[in-house]
Amino acid sequence: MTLHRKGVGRAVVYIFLILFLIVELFPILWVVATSFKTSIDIFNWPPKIWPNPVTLSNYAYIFNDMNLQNYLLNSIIVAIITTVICIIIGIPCAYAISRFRTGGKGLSSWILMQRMIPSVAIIIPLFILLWKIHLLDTWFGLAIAHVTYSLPFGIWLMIGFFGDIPIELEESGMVDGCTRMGAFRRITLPLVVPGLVAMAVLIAIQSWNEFLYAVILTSSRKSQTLPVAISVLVHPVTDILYGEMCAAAVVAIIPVFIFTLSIQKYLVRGLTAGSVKG
Amino acid sequence: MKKKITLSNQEKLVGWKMATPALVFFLVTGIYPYIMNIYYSLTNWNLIHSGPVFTGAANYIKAFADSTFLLSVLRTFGFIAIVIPLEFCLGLGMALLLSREDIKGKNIFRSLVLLPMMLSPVVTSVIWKMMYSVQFGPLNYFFKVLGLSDGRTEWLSDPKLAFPALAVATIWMWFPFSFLVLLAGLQSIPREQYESAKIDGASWWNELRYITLPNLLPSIMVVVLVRFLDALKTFALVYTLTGGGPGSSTELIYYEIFRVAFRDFNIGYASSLSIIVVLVSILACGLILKLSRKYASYEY
Repeated sequence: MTLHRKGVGRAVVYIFLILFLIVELFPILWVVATSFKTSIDIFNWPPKIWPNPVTLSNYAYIFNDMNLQNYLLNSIIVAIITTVICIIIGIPCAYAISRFRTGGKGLSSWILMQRMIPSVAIIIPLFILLWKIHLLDTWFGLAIAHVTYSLPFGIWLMIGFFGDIPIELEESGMVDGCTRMGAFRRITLPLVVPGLVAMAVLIAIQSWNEFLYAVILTSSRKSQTLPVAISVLVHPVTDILYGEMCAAAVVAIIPVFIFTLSIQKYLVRGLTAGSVKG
Repeated sequence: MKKKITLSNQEKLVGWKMATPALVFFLVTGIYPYIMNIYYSLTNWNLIHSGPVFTGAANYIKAFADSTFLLSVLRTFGFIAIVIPLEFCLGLGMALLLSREDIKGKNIFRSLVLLPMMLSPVVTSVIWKMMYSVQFGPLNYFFKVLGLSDGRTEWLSDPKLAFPALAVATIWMWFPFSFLVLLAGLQSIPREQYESAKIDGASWWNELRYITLPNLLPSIMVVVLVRFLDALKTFALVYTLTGGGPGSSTELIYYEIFRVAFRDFNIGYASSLSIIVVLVSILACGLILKLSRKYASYEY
Protein backbone atom coordinates (compact mmCIF):
# COMPACT_ATOMS: atom_id res chain seq x y z
CA MET A 1 0.00 0.00 0.00
CA THR A 2 1.62 3.14 1.24
CA LEU A 3 4.98 1.54 1.90
CA HIS A 4 5.12 1.00 -1.81
CA ARG A 5 6.28 4.37 -3.10
CA LYS A 6 8.54 4.93 -0.10
CA GLY A 7 10.93 2.68 -1.92
CA VAL A 8 10.53 -0.35 0.29
CA GLY A 9 11.14 -3.05 -2.28
CA ARG A 10 8.83 -5.94 -2.86
CA ALA A 11 11.65 -8.37 -2.13
CA VAL A 12 12.16 -6.85 1.31
CA VAL A 13 8.50 -7.35 2.10
CA TYR A 14 8.62 -10.99 0.97
CA ILE A 15 11.71 -11.66 3.03
CA PHE A 16 10.13 -10.05 6.06
CA LEU A 17 6.90 -12.01 5.61
CA ILE A 18 8.76 -15.28 5.32
CA LEU A 19 10.96 -14.55 8.34
CA PHE A 20 7.88 -13.61 10.33
CA LEU A 21 6.15 -16.85 9.35
CA ILE A 22 9.21 -18.88 10.34
CA VAL A 23 9.26 -17.26 13.78
CA GLU A 24 5.49 -17.51 14.16
CA LEU A 25 5.19 -21.13 13.09
CA PHE A 26 8.42 -22.39 14.65
CA PRO A 27 6.64 -23.42 17.90
CA ILE A 28 4.26 -25.64 15.89
CA LEU A 29 7.09 -27.17 13.87
CA TRP A 30 9.00 -27.79 17.08
CA VAL A 31 6.10 -29.81 18.52
CA VAL A 32 5.69 -31.78 15.28
CA ALA A 33 9.43 -32.55 15.19
CA THR A 34 9.49 -33.51 18.87
CA SER A 35 6.67 -35.99 18.35
CA PHE A 36 9.05 -38.01 16.13
CA LYS A 37 12.04 -37.85 18.49
CA THR A 38 13.39 -40.53 20.79
CA SER A 39 13.55 -39.51 24.43
CA ILE A 40 17.33 -39.20 24.14
CA ASP A 41 16.86 -36.62 21.38
CA ILE A 42 14.14 -34.80 23.29
CA PHE A 43 16.37 -34.24 26.32
CA ASN A 44 19.39 -33.30 24.25
CA TRP A 45 21.19 -30.00 24.96
CA PRO A 46 21.61 -27.98 22.82
CA PRO A 47 18.12 -28.80 21.47
CA LYS A 48 18.10 -30.70 18.18
CA ILE A 49 15.64 -29.45 15.60
CA TRP A 50 15.37 -32.54 13.42
CA PRO A 51 14.56 -35.92 14.90
CA ASN A 52 17.39 -38.35 14.24
CA PRO A 53 16.56 -41.20 14.27
CA VAL A 54 12.89 -40.71 13.43
CA THR A 55 10.73 -42.80 15.72
CA LEU A 56 7.03 -43.57 15.83
CA SER A 57 7.22 -44.87 19.40
CA ASN A 58 5.47 -41.79 20.82
CA TYR A 59 2.52 -42.42 18.53
CA ALA A 60 2.58 -46.12 19.36
CA TYR A 61 2.42 -45.24 23.04
CA ILE A 62 -0.52 -42.85 22.84
CA PHE A 63 -2.58 -45.29 20.79
CA ASN A 64 -1.56 -48.58 22.41
CA ASP A 65 -1.04 -47.58 26.04
CA MET A 66 -3.12 -44.43 26.41
CA ASN A 67 -5.94 -45.56 24.17
CA LEU A 68 -6.11 -42.17 22.47
CA GLN A 69 -8.40 -43.56 19.76
CA ASN A 70 -11.13 -43.71 22.40
CA TYR A 71 -10.93 -39.94 22.99
CA LEU A 72 -10.50 -39.35 19.28
CA LEU A 73 -13.77 -41.16 18.66
CA ASN A 74 -15.53 -39.14 21.39
CA SER A 75 -14.27 -35.91 19.82
CA ILE A 76 -15.44 -36.92 16.36
CA ILE A 77 -18.89 -37.99 17.56
CA VAL A 78 -19.44 -34.84 19.65
CA ALA A 79 -18.32 -32.67 16.72
CA ILE A 80 -20.72 -34.48 14.37
CA ILE A 81 -23.70 -34.26 16.74
CA THR A 82 -22.99 -30.54 17.32
CA THR A 83 -22.72 -29.80 13.61
CA VAL A 84 -25.82 -31.77 12.67
CA ILE A 85 -27.96 -30.07 15.34
CA CYS A 86 -26.70 -26.64 14.25
CA ILE A 87 -27.49 -27.35 10.60
CA ILE A 88 -30.91 -28.88 11.16
CA ILE A 89 -32.28 -26.16 13.44
CA GLY A 90 -30.02 -23.35 12.23
CA ILE A 91 -30.81 -23.35 8.49
CA PRO A 92 -34.58 -22.82 8.78
CA CYS A 93 -34.10 -20.12 11.41
CA ALA A 94 -31.49 -18.27 9.36
CA TYR A 95 -33.65 -18.56 6.25
CA ALA A 96 -36.68 -17.20 8.09
CA ILE A 97 -34.72 -14.26 9.45
CA SER A 98 -33.15 -13.55 6.08
CA ARG A 99 -36.28 -13.88 3.92
CA PHE A 100 -39.28 -13.29 6.16
CA ARG A 101 -37.54 -10.87 8.58
CA THR A 102 -38.84 -13.08 11.37
CA GLY A 103 -38.47 -11.41 14.75
CA GLY A 104 -37.18 -8.24 13.14
CA LYS A 105 -33.94 -6.60 14.19
CA GLY A 106 -34.54 -7.60 17.78
CA LEU A 107 -34.18 -11.33 17.16
CA SER A 108 -31.09 -11.10 14.99
CA SER A 109 -29.22 -8.82 17.38
CA TRP A 110 -30.27 -10.99 20.30
CA ILE A 111 -28.76 -13.98 18.50
CA LEU A 112 -25.55 -12.02 17.99
CA MET A 113 -25.54 -11.20 21.69
CA GLN A 114 -25.71 -14.90 22.53
CA ARG A 115 -22.34 -15.29 20.86
CA MET A 116 -20.86 -12.39 22.79
CA ILE A 117 -22.02 -13.03 26.36
CA PRO A 118 -19.32 -14.71 28.47
CA SER A 119 -20.01 -18.42 28.85
CA VAL A 120 -19.57 -18.31 32.66
CA ALA A 121 -23.05 -16.89 32.71
CA ILE A 122 -24.57 -20.23 31.69
CA ILE A 123 -22.03 -22.89 32.55
CA ILE A 124 -23.17 -23.54 36.12
CA PRO A 125 -26.91 -23.79 35.35
CA LEU A 126 -26.08 -25.89 32.29
CA PHE A 127 -24.05 -28.25 34.46
CA ILE A 128 -26.92 -28.56 36.97
CA LEU A 129 -29.47 -29.03 34.17
CA LEU A 130 -27.48 -31.76 32.45
CA TRP A 131 -26.84 -33.39 35.81
CA LYS A 132 -30.57 -33.48 36.62
CA ILE A 133 -31.54 -34.98 33.27
CA HIS A 134 -28.64 -37.47 33.47
CA LEU A 135 -26.75 -36.12 30.46
CA LEU A 136 -23.51 -35.33 32.27
CA ASP A 137 -20.60 -37.29 30.84
CA THR A 138 -22.43 -38.16 27.62
CA TRP A 139 -21.73 -37.26 24.00
CA PHE A 140 -25.11 -35.63 23.64
CA GLY A 141 -24.80 -33.52 26.78
CA LEU A 142 -21.47 -32.09 25.67
CA ALA A 143 -22.79 -31.54 22.15
CA ILE A 144 -25.70 -29.51 23.55
CA ALA A 145 -23.21 -27.29 25.37
CA HIS A 146 -21.28 -26.82 22.14
CA VAL A 147 -24.46 -25.95 20.26
CA THR A 148 -25.11 -23.07 22.70
CA TYR A 149 -22.27 -21.06 21.15
CA SER A 150 -22.15 -22.66 17.68
CA LEU A 151 -25.81 -22.14 16.83
CA PRO A 152 -25.78 -18.32 17.18
CA PHE A 153 -22.52 -18.28 15.23
CA GLY A 154 -23.93 -20.53 12.50
CA ILE A 155 -27.22 -18.67 12.18
CA TRP A 156 -25.42 -15.34 11.96
CA LEU A 157 -23.15 -16.66 9.24
CA MET A 158 -26.03 -18.23 7.30
CA ILE A 159 -28.14 -15.08 7.40
CA GLY A 160 -25.28 -13.52 5.45
CA PHE A 161 -25.10 -16.41 2.98
CA PHE A 162 -28.85 -16.35 2.31
CA GLY A 163 -28.70 -12.57 1.97
CA ASP A 164 -26.20 -13.03 -0.88
CA ILE A 165 -28.72 -14.95 -2.98
CA PRO A 166 -30.98 -12.50 -4.85
CA ILE A 167 -34.57 -13.03 -3.88
CA GLU A 168 -35.51 -12.63 -7.57
CA LEU A 169 -34.05 -16.08 -8.22
CA GLU A 170 -36.55 -17.65 -5.86
CA GLU A 171 -39.35 -15.51 -7.21
CA SER A 172 -38.66 -16.63 -10.75
CA GLY A 173 -38.74 -20.20 -9.50
CA MET A 174 -42.09 -19.53 -7.93
CA VAL A 175 -43.38 -18.07 -11.17
CA ASP A 176 -42.37 -21.32 -12.82
CA GLY A 177 -44.62 -23.20 -10.43
CA CYS A 178 -42.47 -23.96 -7.40
CA THR A 179 -43.91 -23.39 -3.94
CA ARG A 180 -41.90 -21.15 -1.63
CA MET A 181 -40.44 -24.21 0.09
CA GLY A 182 -39.81 -25.82 -3.27
CA ALA A 183 -37.96 -22.73 -4.43
CA PHE A 184 -35.94 -22.76 -1.20
CA ARG A 185 -34.99 -26.41 -1.64
CA ARG A 186 -34.34 -26.41 -5.39
CA ILE A 187 -32.87 -22.96 -5.96
CA THR A 188 -31.54 -21.29 -2.82
CA LEU A 189 -30.21 -24.26 -0.89
CA PRO A 190 -27.95 -25.60 -3.67
CA LEU A 191 -26.50 -22.10 -4.11
CA VAL A 192 -25.54 -21.74 -0.45
CA VAL A 193 -24.10 -25.25 -0.13
CA PRO A 194 -20.43 -24.12 -0.34
CA GLY A 195 -21.04 -21.61 2.43
CA LEU A 196 -22.88 -24.19 4.50
CA VAL A 197 -20.02 -26.65 4.13
CA ALA A 198 -17.57 -24.00 5.32
CA MET A 199 -19.86 -23.22 8.24
CA ALA A 200 -20.19 -26.89 9.16
CA VAL A 201 -16.42 -27.28 9.06
CA LEU A 202 -15.89 -24.26 11.32
CA ILE A 203 -18.48 -25.51 13.80
CA ALA A 204 -16.88 -28.96 13.81
CA ILE A 205 -13.44 -27.41 14.38
CA GLN A 206 -14.74 -25.28 17.24
CA SER A 207 -16.26 -28.33 18.87
CA TRP A 208 -13.10 -30.36 18.25
CA ASN A 209 -10.99 -27.65 19.94
CA GLU A 210 -13.32 -26.73 22.78
CA PHE A 211 -12.00 -27.26 26.31
CA LEU A 212 -13.96 -25.43 29.03
CA TYR A 213 -17.27 -27.27 28.58
CA ALA A 214 -15.48 -30.52 27.82
CA VAL A 215 -13.52 -30.52 31.06
CA ILE A 216 -16.54 -29.57 33.16
CA LEU A 217 -19.26 -31.69 31.56
CA THR A 218 -17.35 -34.93 31.03
CA SER A 219 -15.67 -37.06 33.64
CA SER A 220 -14.74 -40.42 32.17
CA ARG A 221 -13.42 -42.04 29.02
CA LYS A 222 -17.03 -42.56 28.04
CA SER A 223 -17.23 -39.02 26.67
CA GLN A 224 -13.98 -37.14 27.38
CA THR A 225 -12.70 -35.49 24.23
CA LEU A 226 -9.19 -35.17 22.82
CA PRO A 227 -8.39 -31.77 24.40
CA VAL A 228 -9.29 -33.18 27.83
CA ALA A 229 -7.05 -36.20 27.26
CA ILE A 230 -4.22 -33.92 26.13
CA SER A 231 -4.69 -31.59 29.11
CA VAL A 232 -3.93 -34.54 31.39
CA LEU A 233 -0.64 -34.97 29.53
CA VAL A 234 0.26 -31.26 29.81
CA HIS A 235 -0.58 -30.95 33.48
CA PRO A 236 0.19 -34.40 34.80
CA VAL A 237 0.30 -35.66 38.38
CA THR A 238 3.84 -36.96 37.89
CA ASP A 239 6.42 -36.40 35.13
CA ILE A 240 5.52 -34.93 31.76
CA LEU A 241 5.79 -37.39 28.87
CA TYR A 242 7.06 -34.82 26.38
CA GLY A 243 7.20 -36.92 23.21
CA GLU A 244 3.81 -38.48 23.86
CA MET A 245 2.27 -35.10 24.66
CA CYS A 246 3.55 -33.70 21.37
CA ALA A 247 2.31 -36.71 19.40
CA ALA A 248 -1.18 -36.28 20.88
CA ALA A 249 -1.09 -32.57 20.00
CA VAL A 250 -0.15 -33.42 16.41
CA VAL A 251 -3.13 -35.78 16.21
CA ALA A 252 -5.33 -32.85 17.28
CA ILE A 253 -3.66 -30.43 14.83
CA ILE A 254 -3.85 -32.52 11.63
CA PRO A 255 -7.62 -32.39 10.99
CA VAL A 256 -7.71 -28.68 11.85
CA PHE A 257 -4.91 -28.02 9.40
CA ILE A 258 -6.52 -29.98 6.57
CA PHE A 259 -9.98 -28.52 7.06
CA THR A 260 -8.69 -24.97 7.46
CA LEU A 261 -6.96 -25.16 4.11
CA SER A 262 -9.99 -26.78 2.50
CA ILE A 263 -12.28 -23.85 3.29
CA GLN A 264 -9.79 -21.04 2.63
CA LYS A 265 -12.24 -19.09 0.51
CA TYR A 266 -14.74 -18.74 3.34
CA LEU A 267 -12.28 -18.62 6.20
CA VAL A 268 -12.14 -14.87 6.73
CA ARG A 269 -15.87 -14.53 6.58
CA GLY A 270 -16.37 -17.42 8.95
CA LEU A 271 -13.78 -16.38 11.51
CA THR A 272 -15.04 -12.84 11.69
CA ALA A 273 -18.75 -13.70 11.52
CA GLY A 274 -20.80 -11.22 13.46
CA SER A 275 -17.95 -8.78 13.70
CA VAL A 276 -17.36 -7.69 10.12
CA LYS A 277 -19.93 -7.16 7.43
CA GLY A 278 -19.75 -9.36 4.37
CA MET B 1 -30.57 -2.21 -4.46
CA LYS B 2 -32.47 -3.55 -1.40
CA LYS B 3 -35.98 -4.42 -2.46
CA LYS B 4 -38.71 -3.74 0.03
CA ILE B 5 -40.55 -6.99 0.46
CA THR B 6 -44.12 -7.06 1.62
CA LEU B 7 -44.95 -10.23 3.45
CA SER B 8 -48.29 -11.93 3.62
CA ASN B 9 -49.47 -13.12 7.00
CA GLN B 10 -49.08 -16.65 5.78
CA GLU B 11 -45.41 -16.03 5.04
CA LYS B 12 -44.92 -14.49 8.46
CA LEU B 13 -46.37 -17.63 9.98
CA VAL B 14 -44.08 -19.83 7.89
CA GLY B 15 -41.14 -17.73 9.10
CA TRP B 16 -42.00 -18.24 12.74
CA LYS B 17 -42.55 -21.95 12.17
CA MET B 18 -39.12 -22.30 10.59
CA ALA B 19 -37.49 -20.42 13.43
CA THR B 20 -39.27 -22.35 16.18
CA PRO B 21 -36.77 -25.18 16.79
CA ALA B 22 -33.90 -22.72 17.16
CA LEU B 23 -35.99 -20.40 19.33
CA VAL B 24 -36.96 -23.27 21.63
CA PHE B 25 -33.29 -24.16 21.94
CA PHE B 26 -32.41 -20.56 22.75
CA LEU B 27 -35.17 -20.45 25.32
CA VAL B 28 -33.70 -23.48 27.08
CA THR B 29 -30.05 -22.47 26.80
CA GLY B 30 -30.18 -18.70 26.41
CA ILE B 31 -32.82 -17.58 28.90
CA TYR B 32 -33.46 -20.34 31.42
CA PRO B 33 -29.80 -20.57 32.51
CA TYR B 34 -29.60 -16.83 33.20
CA ILE B 35 -32.67 -16.96 35.39
CA MET B 36 -31.36 -20.01 37.22
CA ASN B 37 -27.96 -18.39 37.61
CA ILE B 38 -29.51 -15.39 39.30
CA TYR B 39 -31.50 -17.69 41.57
CA TYR B 40 -28.44 -19.82 42.48
CA SER B 41 -26.47 -16.68 43.20
CA LEU B 42 -28.93 -15.83 45.97
CA THR B 43 -28.50 -19.20 47.67
CA ASN B 44 -25.94 -21.00 49.71
CA TRP B 45 -25.51 -24.25 47.85
CA ASN B 46 -22.67 -26.67 48.15
CA LEU B 47 -23.25 -29.64 45.84
CA ILE B 48 -21.60 -32.04 48.26
CA HIS B 49 -23.54 -31.06 51.36
CA SER B 50 -27.07 -29.99 50.56
CA GLY B 51 -29.60 -28.38 48.29
CA PRO B 52 -29.84 -24.61 47.76
CA VAL B 53 -30.74 -22.52 50.81
CA PHE B 54 -31.95 -18.99 50.10
CA THR B 55 -29.61 -16.43 51.66
CA GLY B 56 -30.41 -13.23 49.78
CA ALA B 57 -27.49 -11.03 48.86
CA ALA B 58 -25.06 -12.74 51.23
CA ASN B 59 -22.93 -14.14 48.39
CA TYR B 60 -22.52 -10.71 46.83
CA ILE B 61 -21.50 -9.14 50.13
CA LYS B 62 -19.00 -11.96 50.58
CA ALA B 63 -17.67 -11.46 47.04
CA PHE B 64 -16.84 -7.81 47.61
CA ALA B 65 -14.72 -8.76 50.60
CA ASP B 66 -13.11 -11.75 48.89
CA SER B 67 -9.58 -10.65 48.05
CA THR B 68 -8.84 -13.79 45.98
CA PHE B 69 -11.76 -12.98 43.72
CA LEU B 70 -11.12 -9.24 43.53
CA LEU B 71 -7.46 -9.81 42.76
CA SER B 72 -8.32 -12.26 40.00
CA VAL B 73 -10.64 -9.65 38.46
CA LEU B 74 -7.88 -7.04 38.56
CA ARG B 75 -5.37 -9.54 37.21
CA THR B 76 -7.71 -10.42 34.35
CA PHE B 77 -8.14 -6.77 33.41
CA GLY B 78 -4.37 -6.30 33.59
CA PHE B 79 -3.96 -9.34 31.38
CA ILE B 80 -6.42 -7.97 28.84
CA ALA B 81 -4.75 -4.55 28.91
CA ILE B 82 -1.41 -6.14 28.04
CA VAL B 83 -2.62 -8.65 25.49
CA ILE B 84 -4.97 -6.57 23.32
CA PRO B 85 -2.62 -3.67 22.41
CA LEU B 86 0.21 -6.06 21.54
CA GLU B 87 -2.06 -8.30 19.46
CA PHE B 88 -3.35 -5.18 17.77
CA CYS B 89 0.09 -3.86 16.84
CA LEU B 90 1.26 -7.22 15.51
CA GLY B 91 -2.00 -7.70 13.62
CA LEU B 92 -1.93 -4.20 12.15
CA GLY B 93 1.68 -4.52 11.06
CA MET B 94 1.05 -7.78 9.24
CA ALA B 95 -2.21 -6.49 7.77
CA LEU B 96 -0.44 -3.39 6.39
CA LEU B 97 2.21 -5.58 4.78
CA LEU B 98 -0.27 -8.00 3.26
CA SER B 99 -2.59 -5.28 1.98
CA ARG B 100 0.09 -4.12 -0.47
CA GLU B 101 -1.25 -4.59 -3.94
CA ASP B 102 1.93 -6.01 -5.43
CA ILE B 103 2.20 -9.02 -3.09
CA LYS B 104 1.43 -12.38 -4.68
CA GLY B 105 0.23 -15.46 -2.83
CA LYS B 106 -1.70 -13.37 -0.30
CA ASN B 107 -4.15 -16.17 0.42
CA ILE B 108 -1.42 -18.61 1.35
CA PHE B 109 0.36 -16.08 3.55
CA ARG B 110 -2.93 -15.22 5.18
CA SER B 111 -3.86 -18.83 5.90
CA LEU B 112 -0.43 -19.53 7.38
CA VAL B 113 -0.46 -16.39 9.53
CA LEU B 114 -3.83 -17.27 10.99
CA LEU B 115 -2.98 -20.90 11.74
CA PRO B 116 -2.42 -20.42 15.51
CA MET B 117 -5.97 -19.18 16.06
CA MET B 118 -7.36 -22.36 14.52
CA LEU B 119 -5.70 -24.56 17.13
CA SER B 120 -7.26 -25.86 20.30
CA PRO B 121 -6.09 -23.81 23.31
CA VAL B 122 -4.93 -27.10 24.79
CA VAL B 123 -2.67 -27.65 21.77
CA THR B 124 -1.35 -24.11 22.29
CA SER B 125 -0.55 -25.16 25.84
CA VAL B 126 1.43 -28.15 24.59
CA ILE B 127 3.27 -25.92 22.16
CA TRP B 128 4.27 -23.35 24.78
CA LYS B 129 5.00 -25.97 27.42
CA MET B 130 7.65 -27.19 24.98
CA MET B 131 8.91 -23.68 24.16
CA TYR B 132 9.19 -22.72 27.84
CA SER B 133 10.70 -26.01 28.97
CA VAL B 134 13.56 -25.30 31.37
CA GLN B 135 15.98 -28.14 30.62
CA PHE B 136 15.69 -28.39 26.84
CA GLY B 137 13.36 -25.63 25.65
CA PRO B 138 14.24 -23.70 22.47
CA LEU B 139 13.50 -20.40 24.20
CA ASN B 140 16.12 -20.92 26.86
CA TYR B 141 18.51 -22.02 24.15
CA PHE B 142 17.97 -18.89 22.05
CA PHE B 143 18.26 -16.64 25.09
CA LYS B 144 21.52 -18.29 26.03
CA VAL B 145 22.94 -18.08 22.49
CA LEU B 146 22.03 -14.39 22.37
CA GLY B 147 23.63 -13.90 25.74
CA LEU B 148 20.41 -12.71 27.37
CA SER B 149 20.29 -15.32 30.11
CA ASP B 150 22.13 -18.33 31.48
CA GLY B 151 19.64 -20.62 29.72
CA ARG B 152 18.08 -21.82 32.94
CA THR B 153 15.09 -19.49 33.14
CA GLU B 154 12.04 -21.01 34.84
CA TRP B 155 9.48 -19.34 32.59
CA LEU B 156 6.41 -20.98 34.07
CA SER B 157 7.37 -21.42 37.70
CA ASP B 158 8.90 -18.01 38.39
CA PRO B 159 6.11 -15.87 39.93
CA LYS B 160 7.37 -12.83 38.02
CA LEU B 161 7.59 -14.56 34.63
CA ALA B 162 4.56 -16.86 34.57
CA PHE B 163 2.12 -14.02 33.90
CA PRO B 164 4.03 -12.54 30.91
CA ALA B 165 4.66 -16.10 29.66
CA LEU B 166 0.92 -16.71 29.66
CA ALA B 167 0.38 -13.38 27.87
CA VAL B 168 2.91 -14.28 25.16
CA ALA B 169 1.16 -17.60 24.46
CA THR B 170 -2.19 -15.79 24.27
CA ILE B 171 -0.84 -13.09 21.94
CA TRP B 172 0.70 -15.75 19.70
CA MET B 173 -2.60 -17.56 19.45
CA TRP B 174 -4.90 -14.56 19.00
CA PHE B 175 -3.07 -11.80 17.13
CA PRO B 176 -4.28 -13.44 13.86
CA PHE B 177 -7.79 -12.32 14.75
CA SER B 178 -6.73 -8.65 14.83
CA PHE B 179 -4.81 -9.30 11.64
CA LEU B 180 -7.86 -10.75 9.83
CA VAL B 181 -10.30 -8.04 10.86
CA LEU B 182 -7.85 -5.20 10.18
CA LEU B 183 -6.88 -6.67 6.80
CA ALA B 184 -10.55 -6.75 5.80
CA GLY B 185 -10.87 -3.16 7.04
CA LEU B 186 -7.81 -1.97 5.11
CA GLN B 187 -9.08 -3.46 1.89
CA SER B 188 -12.27 -1.43 2.12
CA ILE B 189 -10.57 1.98 2.41
CA PRO B 190 -11.18 3.96 -0.80
CA ARG B 191 -7.99 4.30 -2.88
CA GLU B 192 -8.77 7.93 -3.80
CA GLN B 193 -8.01 9.09 -0.28
CA TYR B 194 -4.43 7.87 -0.61
CA GLU B 195 -4.09 9.34 -4.06
CA SER B 196 -5.06 12.82 -2.94
CA ALA B 197 -2.76 12.49 0.09
CA LYS B 198 0.00 11.57 -2.34
CA ILE B 199 -0.60 14.74 -4.33
CA ASP B 200 -0.42 16.76 -1.12
CA GLY B 201 2.87 15.07 -0.38
CA ALA B 202 1.79 13.43 2.86
CA SER B 203 4.41 11.33 4.65
CA TRP B 204 3.92 7.64 5.34
CA TRP B 205 3.25 8.38 8.98
CA ASN B 206 0.70 11.08 8.17
CA GLU B 207 -1.12 8.73 5.83
CA LEU B 208 -1.32 6.16 8.61
CA ARG B 209 -2.39 8.74 11.16
CA TYR B 210 -4.91 10.71 9.11
CA ILE B 211 -6.24 8.25 6.56
CA THR B 212 -5.64 4.64 7.54
CA LEU B 213 -6.39 4.71 11.27
CA PRO B 214 -9.54 6.90 11.13
CA ASN B 215 -10.92 4.71 8.35
CA LEU B 216 -10.05 1.61 10.32
CA LEU B 217 -11.86 2.81 13.43
CA PRO B 218 -14.89 0.50 13.03
CA SER B 219 -12.57 -2.49 12.57
CA ILE B 220 -10.46 -1.43 15.54
CA MET B 221 -13.61 -1.29 17.64
CA VAL B 222 -14.53 -4.79 16.59
CA VAL B 223 -11.08 -6.07 17.45
CA VAL B 224 -11.10 -4.47 20.88
CA LEU B 225 -14.63 -5.58 21.75
CA VAL B 226 -14.41 -9.16 20.50
CA ARG B 227 -10.96 -9.69 21.93
CA PHE B 228 -11.99 -8.14 25.23
CA LEU B 229 -14.83 -10.64 25.56
CA ASP B 230 -12.67 -13.54 24.40
CA ALA B 231 -9.63 -12.72 26.52
CA LEU B 232 -11.96 -12.59 29.51
CA LYS B 233 -12.65 -16.28 28.81
CA THR B 234 -8.97 -17.29 28.98
CA PHE B 235 -9.21 -20.61 30.74
CA ALA B 236 -7.59 -23.55 28.99
CA LEU B 237 -4.15 -21.92 28.91
CA VAL B 238 -4.31 -21.13 32.61
CA TYR B 239 -5.65 -24.58 33.46
CA THR B 240 -3.03 -26.52 31.55
CA LEU B 241 0.01 -24.24 31.33
CA THR B 242 0.27 -22.83 34.85
CA GLY B 243 -2.66 -24.19 36.88
CA GLY B 244 -3.13 -20.64 38.16
CA GLY B 245 0.30 -20.73 39.77
CA PRO B 246 2.92 -20.23 40.90
CA GLY B 247 1.08 -19.01 43.97
CA SER B 248 -1.92 -17.35 42.41
CA SER B 249 0.06 -15.20 39.96
CA THR B 250 -1.83 -16.43 36.86
CA GLU B 251 -5.24 -17.06 38.38
CA LEU B 252 -7.55 -15.34 35.92
CA ILE B 253 -11.24 -14.91 36.54
CA TYR B 254 -12.54 -17.90 34.56
CA TYR B 255 -10.14 -20.18 36.37
CA GLU B 256 -11.15 -18.72 39.72
CA ILE B 257 -14.86 -19.30 39.07
CA PHE B 258 -14.12 -22.80 37.76
CA ARG B 259 -12.22 -23.53 40.97
CA VAL B 260 -15.00 -22.31 43.25
CA ALA B 261 -17.74 -24.08 41.28
CA PHE B 262 -16.18 -27.36 40.24
CA ARG B 263 -13.37 -27.95 42.73
CA ASP B 264 -15.04 -26.66 45.91
CA PHE B 265 -18.56 -27.25 44.50
CA ASN B 266 -19.67 -23.95 45.95
CA ILE B 267 -22.39 -23.50 43.33
CA GLY B 268 -24.22 -20.60 44.96
CA TYR B 269 -21.13 -18.50 45.53
CA ALA B 270 -19.67 -19.28 42.09
CA SER B 271 -22.95 -18.20 40.47
CA SER B 272 -22.80 -14.83 42.19
CA LEU B 273 -19.19 -14.41 41.02
CA SER B 274 -20.18 -15.25 37.44
CA ILE B 275 -22.98 -12.68 37.53
CA ILE B 276 -20.60 -10.01 38.83
CA VAL B 277 -18.22 -10.84 35.99
CA VAL B 278 -20.96 -10.62 33.36
CA LEU B 279 -22.13 -7.26 34.75
CA VAL B 280 -18.59 -5.90 34.87
CA SER B 281 -17.95 -7.04 31.30
CA ILE B 282 -21.17 -5.42 30.06
CA LEU B 283 -20.11 -2.19 31.78
CA ALA B 284 -16.65 -2.42 30.25
CA CYS B 285 -18.10 -3.01 26.77
CA GLY B 286 -20.34 0.02 27.18
CA LEU B 287 -17.33 2.07 28.21
CA ILE B 288 -15.30 0.88 25.21
CA LEU B 289 -18.15 1.80 22.86
CA LYS B 290 -18.56 5.20 24.45
CA LEU B 291 -14.85 6.00 24.38
CA SER B 292 -14.58 4.97 20.76
CA ARG B 293 -17.45 7.27 19.79
CA LYS B 294 -15.83 10.18 21.58
CA TYR B 295 -12.54 9.42 19.88
CA ALA B 296 -14.25 9.08 16.52
CA SER B 297 -15.90 12.48 16.76
CA TYR B 298 -12.50 14.07 17.37
CA GLU B 299 -11.07 12.41 14.33
CA TYR B 300 -13.47 13.64 11.73
